Amino acid sequence: MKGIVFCEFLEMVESEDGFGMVDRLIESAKLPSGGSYTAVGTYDHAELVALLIAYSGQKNLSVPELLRAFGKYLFGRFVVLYPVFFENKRSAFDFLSHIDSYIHVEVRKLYADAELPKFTHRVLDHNRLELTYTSAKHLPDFAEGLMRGCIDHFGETIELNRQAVVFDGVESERFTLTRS
Amino acid sequence: MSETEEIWRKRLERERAARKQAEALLERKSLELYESNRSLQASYDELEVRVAARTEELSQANVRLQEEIAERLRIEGSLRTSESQARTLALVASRTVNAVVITGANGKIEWVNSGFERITGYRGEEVIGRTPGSFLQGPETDRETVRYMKERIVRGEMFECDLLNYHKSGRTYWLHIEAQPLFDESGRLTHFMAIETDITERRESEQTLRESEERFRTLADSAPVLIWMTDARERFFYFNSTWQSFTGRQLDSEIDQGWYAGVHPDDRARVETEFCKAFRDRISIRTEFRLMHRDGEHRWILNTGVPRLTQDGRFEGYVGSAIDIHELKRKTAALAERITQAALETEIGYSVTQFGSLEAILERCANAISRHLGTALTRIWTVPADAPDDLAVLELKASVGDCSPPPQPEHRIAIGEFKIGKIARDRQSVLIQDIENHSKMIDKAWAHAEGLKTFFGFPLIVENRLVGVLVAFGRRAFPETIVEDLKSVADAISVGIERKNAEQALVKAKIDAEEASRSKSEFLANMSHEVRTPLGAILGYNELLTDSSVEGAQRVEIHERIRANGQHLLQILNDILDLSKIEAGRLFIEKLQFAPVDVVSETVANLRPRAEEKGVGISVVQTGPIPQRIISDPTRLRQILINLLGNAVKFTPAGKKIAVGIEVRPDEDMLVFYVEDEGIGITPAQRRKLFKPFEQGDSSTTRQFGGTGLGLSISKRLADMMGGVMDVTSEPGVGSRFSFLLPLSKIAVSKWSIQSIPVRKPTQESPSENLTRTSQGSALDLISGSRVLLCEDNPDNQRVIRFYLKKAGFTVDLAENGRIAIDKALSEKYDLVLMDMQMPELDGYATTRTLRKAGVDLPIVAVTANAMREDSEKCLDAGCDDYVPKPIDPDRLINTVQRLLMVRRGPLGTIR
Repeated sequence: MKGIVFCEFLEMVESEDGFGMVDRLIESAKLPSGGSYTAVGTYDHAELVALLIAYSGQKNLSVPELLRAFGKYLFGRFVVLYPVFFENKRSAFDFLSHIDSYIHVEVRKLYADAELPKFTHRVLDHNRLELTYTSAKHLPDFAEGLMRGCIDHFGETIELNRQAVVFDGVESERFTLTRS
Repeated sequence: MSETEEIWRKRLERERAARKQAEALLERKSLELYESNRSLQASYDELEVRVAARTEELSQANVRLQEEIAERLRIEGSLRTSESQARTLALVASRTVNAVVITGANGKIEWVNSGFERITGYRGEEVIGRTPGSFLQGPETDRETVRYMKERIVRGEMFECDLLNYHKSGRTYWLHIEAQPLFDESGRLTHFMAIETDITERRESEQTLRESEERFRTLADSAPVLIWMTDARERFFYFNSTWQSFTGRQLDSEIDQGWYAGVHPDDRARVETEFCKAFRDRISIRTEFRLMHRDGEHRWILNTGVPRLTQDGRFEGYVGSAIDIHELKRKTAALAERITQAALETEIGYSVTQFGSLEAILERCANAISRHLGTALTRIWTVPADAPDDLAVLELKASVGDCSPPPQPEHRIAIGEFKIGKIARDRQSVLIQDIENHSKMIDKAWAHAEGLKTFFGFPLIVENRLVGVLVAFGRRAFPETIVEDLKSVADAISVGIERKNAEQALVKAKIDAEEASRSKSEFLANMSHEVRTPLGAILGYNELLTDSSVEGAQRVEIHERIRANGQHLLQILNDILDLSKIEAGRLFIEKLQFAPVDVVSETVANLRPRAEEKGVGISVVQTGPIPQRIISDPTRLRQILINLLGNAVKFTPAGKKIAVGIEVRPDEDMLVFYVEDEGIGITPAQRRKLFKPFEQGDSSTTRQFGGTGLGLSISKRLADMMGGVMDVTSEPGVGSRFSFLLPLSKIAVSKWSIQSIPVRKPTQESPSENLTRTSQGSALDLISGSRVLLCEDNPDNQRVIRFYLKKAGFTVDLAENGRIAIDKALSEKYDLVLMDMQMPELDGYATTRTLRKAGVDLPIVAVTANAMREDSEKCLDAGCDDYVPKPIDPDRLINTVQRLLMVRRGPLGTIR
């Protein structure tokens, strides 16, 4: 998993609960990397899971809840860090339907080693978009958080439903977005 | 080291570690870059080597090729010698549809095939030895291509191009030329071989396609309709210039889904869904929606689209067009509105002329409005027809609709209250297209729950009089012109209400008239009865007097009964006269300033003797301060009080008391006069009839107490005319309290005071009596024997008056009518004239006027049965000096005559 995810996670924790909390998480998670992350590096995603479990214990929040919150937060950071991906994107549907075909393609050019999830999209009609999330790491809550962050960014009212499915023989999560 | 420092230290360590990682990563990346750069260089070098090798290979291959060609030519040459092989070659060359030309290195034709002959129209022998360009090319042949070909030929290189050539007949055609240089073994250029394909048809179809496309664009751009196209992936890629000039947007902002931005927000989702559905099913689409015009206004357009299919049925996308139907829609809507309005007007016009109650008619009108305009709730309120001007209310007469009525108001509201009352007050039509945001006076929770969004209201006015209000609620917008459009409808309803009101008023007037006529008849019947009763008594007693056996005290008693009945009859007639004058509207109320206390004390003084005679005590009560002076009619006030007090005396038995009072009730703003007795009292049922003519509490009362039964009736009417109120409270057997209330506001109170009411001695004294008394003896002697001319047509009156006058010592001469009176007064000498005013031929007024005109200055005393004050004034106006009412009161007659004679004679006793 790319180092930026770890960095941003720790940034979020720090801004939320101070560096003391960051330190506690790192100490208690017993991380192979020792908690030193650089955005350009790549780390085992199990470390993020360990950090999340530790944070979950501290905050008395479930890991899925944390993942959704972090996803929302991270999307906001993406907007700041990678404005190029938001150029000419008029709506959440516009953005979300271009993850696989454009954004991930570009990300892969920068980070050949990035392990990216797959977002297969299908337009149901002008107000409904179906996104199927497939990932080796299987973090559907994280994906949901990111989508909610995206919806918030475009300031739209979109209803989000999810359902676990088996897609192409792989355990996946299907999100249905309904615009009102 | 503190915990914080420890954390910061650890943080720093981690940051440092992260930095080192990043540096390591960077170094690795730099190394990778360096390595890949180096391997790139290596590949490049290798590529150069390989290119060089390949170039070498190619040139060797070329040499080999040339050798092969030379070999082939050699073989060909040997073949040519072989006839059968030559035939085969000729067969191949002739069968091919292409032209084959072989020229020498000098460019001159050495051989052509039959294809060449067919394509060019030249036979082989005509062209051998000539360069192809010299006869095949013409003015339209592209110079540039020709130059290119020549260059390649000179350099001995292969070439390929398209060229326009000329057929022998002069017709042009297109060729695709592939030319190959041929070399001999030594590598020397010997020949060129060109294979030429006729591509005229392809060129033409390409041209046709280009032209047709060009034509389509020209057509599409000049068409008055808006045209669009999508590709097979349903991406909008073309909008004609008409479209662009309609929306005022450039092609690049319209393409793809961009044009949806111009669709009206209310239509957008629908239009998107419609397009989506049509595209999915690949069916044609036809839809109307509003599209933003470049001037910023949304205009209605009709958009149609059909799938584009190639000849072989392949789907290529959609082509569609749109036309501006805004005006059409507007006109259609306007027309529909006009038709609706005309139908509504007709129906309303019909409804208001129908029979039925006002409610039924208005219900029909409201129904028509609901049906034609699609209103959710239509209501008509009216001002009650018999309502006084200051009773400002509206009553709900019709309510039609498919929604529940508003919680308030219910069926009756005051003008000025709520939206409806406000319309009535302001007399202004109201149109609200957005209740949610624009009305403070409509119950929004109710409107919201019922889905009501719009409202209009009309004041219903006929000849500047408000007769009602028409209101309606709607769930959709009303046309902006509705207020103007419905004016005639509102007018028709107004007139309908007015007509119905008038009808009801007529019916009521008829009933009232019948009632009045009935009560007049009753009145006459009653009066006749009332008059007959004392008259019967008088005649009866008179009959008794003719009986000689009746004598002495009995006779005196009978005389007294005759007099009393005569008095009663007179009272009845006077009352009837008063009442009829009031009813005929000929009685007027004066406005004079006077002290109310004086009127009370005068009244009490007048009636005290009768009360004392009966053994009834009268006390006068004043509670609190009362105004010193008021402005009203003292005569009428006195009349009322005399009536009330007279009744009290009449109905109070001996030994009981009567209280007469005057007080102010500040909380009611009333000045109150009351008479409280300890009489027989009145039951509530009797009280209702009390103020009606000829109705006493009990018909037996008349027999017991006498009285005409008209007094209270007259008092009440007088009270009405003075702006006051009569009130009565009573308990049978205990007593009654009659009050007369005058509103302070109507009597312009000047000053308030606590003033005790002086109790006056009852008096019948008049100035003439004083005079008589003070100048007793000598004065009367002076006028004794004066000559009086009595002008009277009625023999009974002649007899009675002459009797009294003679008894008083005067000489009486008689004139039976006005003419005789004038003759006598002018020819003979009299001291005074007594003039009856009602005479046949020439009445007393005319006679008096004639006498005065003739210079007669004798005192003239009018004798009149018309006892009202206006009548006496009329007498004085005619020239009379004084008047005496009929029936004759002997004392009053003699006093008046004596007084006038005394004045005339003067202090010295001489007649002026």
